[in-house]
Amino acid sequence: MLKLFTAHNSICTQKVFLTLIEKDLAWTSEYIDLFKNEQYRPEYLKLNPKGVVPTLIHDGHAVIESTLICEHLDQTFPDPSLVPASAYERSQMRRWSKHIDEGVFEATREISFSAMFRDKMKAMTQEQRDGRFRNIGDPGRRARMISTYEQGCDSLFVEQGIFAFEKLFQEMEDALAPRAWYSAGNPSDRCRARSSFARRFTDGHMPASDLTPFGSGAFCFCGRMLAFLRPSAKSLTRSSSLNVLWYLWRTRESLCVDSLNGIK
Amino acid sequence: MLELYHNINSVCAQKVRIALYEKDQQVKERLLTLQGDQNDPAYMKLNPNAVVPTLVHDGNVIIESSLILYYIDEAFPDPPLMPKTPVARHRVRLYNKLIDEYMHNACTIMTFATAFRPSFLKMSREQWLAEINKAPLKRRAEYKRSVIEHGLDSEFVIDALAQHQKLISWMADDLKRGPYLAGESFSNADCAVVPYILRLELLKLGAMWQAEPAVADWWARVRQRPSVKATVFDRMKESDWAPFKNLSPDPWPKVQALLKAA
Repeated sequence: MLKLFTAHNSICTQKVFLTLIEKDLAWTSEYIDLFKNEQYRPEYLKLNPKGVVPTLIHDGHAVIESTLICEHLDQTFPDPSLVPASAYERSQMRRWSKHIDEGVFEATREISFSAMFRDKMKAMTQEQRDGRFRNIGDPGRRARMISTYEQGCDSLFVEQGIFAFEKLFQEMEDALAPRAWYSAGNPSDRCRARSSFARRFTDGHMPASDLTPFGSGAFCFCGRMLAFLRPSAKSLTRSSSLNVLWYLWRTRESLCVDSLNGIK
Repeated sequence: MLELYHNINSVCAQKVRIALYEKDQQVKERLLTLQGDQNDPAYMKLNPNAVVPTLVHDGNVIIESSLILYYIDEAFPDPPLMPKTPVARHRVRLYNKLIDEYMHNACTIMTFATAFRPSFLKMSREQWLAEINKAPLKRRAEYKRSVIEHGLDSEFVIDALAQHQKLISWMADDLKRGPYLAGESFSNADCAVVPYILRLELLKLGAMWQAEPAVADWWARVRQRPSVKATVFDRMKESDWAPFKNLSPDPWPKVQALLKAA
């Protein structure tokens, strides 16, 4: 039995939804209101000591850390696999998720917070807000949140976050561009490769294996941030492969708005 | 063919050497001094972060020590370094994640605040700043700057100690259930943790686990393990021990005071 603790708009939870849906698994959700500090209730902290979402409960065991939840789901429900077959490709896939866990996630949080959640924090009582800051165990993370709360988009962390995405998009471009559907040898091969690729995803027959080079988690992050930063990101206007990824992201069923909000 | 770019004292390289020995894999060694050779453009083509280790297997380049551990286990499955049950496998990954996201920086902070600090202080401020600023990972350069300047009084030390305490408490908890961190057999969790416990010992901070006999027992056992002995202790030459000998001042009294105050 699978149960997922979720929160509205939580990008780490969205990765797990995506994996659950791709694998056609049934689960129940329990909603945690992050703005009411429900993530810091003692009974939830027992399951998830960092006080973050998501937490997956699988047959009574708490599985935490969204990247590891996706790996756990792939190992316990291997079909269809969202992990590449070879050890080398797996290490490349894990580099994407590592990149997200150790940099891009922070960038996402700082950008989203300054743009979307800051007003909500302003509407809290001083006491609630102080409680929220106090409850963040990691001092670095607390300092970043206070900075984005106080300075909004002018915070240095937001600027660093945008740089982190520019770098990520460039790396994605480098990884995507050589793939067969763009760069087959001569123009007619290229044309054929592109049209067969286009047909696959417009017909809705795109196999899950098309997600595996990134792993579902990285794919979800990149997609959401492509949507978020699209109007301003320099690399996006230059890059055809990122635009294809963006299209892919918008058209994939597991990534529709309902899915990302955990609505089955 | 396996090639490993590494350094004897690097914690991240130590865990990979332990795993390769456990799998009985021979490697062609490429030793780096880390005194500038990590920033060579040719090396940075393999490892853009300019850190060790880098594993090259039949032409494929694999970086990031935790990912190298997973890779080694997948490419050479026997004997396994990942447990069988999904719950225990998740535990191994949680250890690697704790190390990658918190412990590794915490270890750098403690090492530079104590053992490595004197050699930087022999240089002019401009010289050592230029040296540490060459690193592409900017946040790590900021930690180093702070601890070279302020030693154990740096604002980063308290959190670094808290991360070490967290690791020790995870270990104490897991070792109640079995002789190794993820159960009955030595796993990638043990490979990953050994170098950090060794480092605390080298920094004369072994008293941090004195209240945890299960951790002390584990350490007494794994340090005798052939893989750990051969790839870590037997590889350390006089020059590798040197930074940790005669630590002055002895870090323990200050660390003990910080732990008490926290």
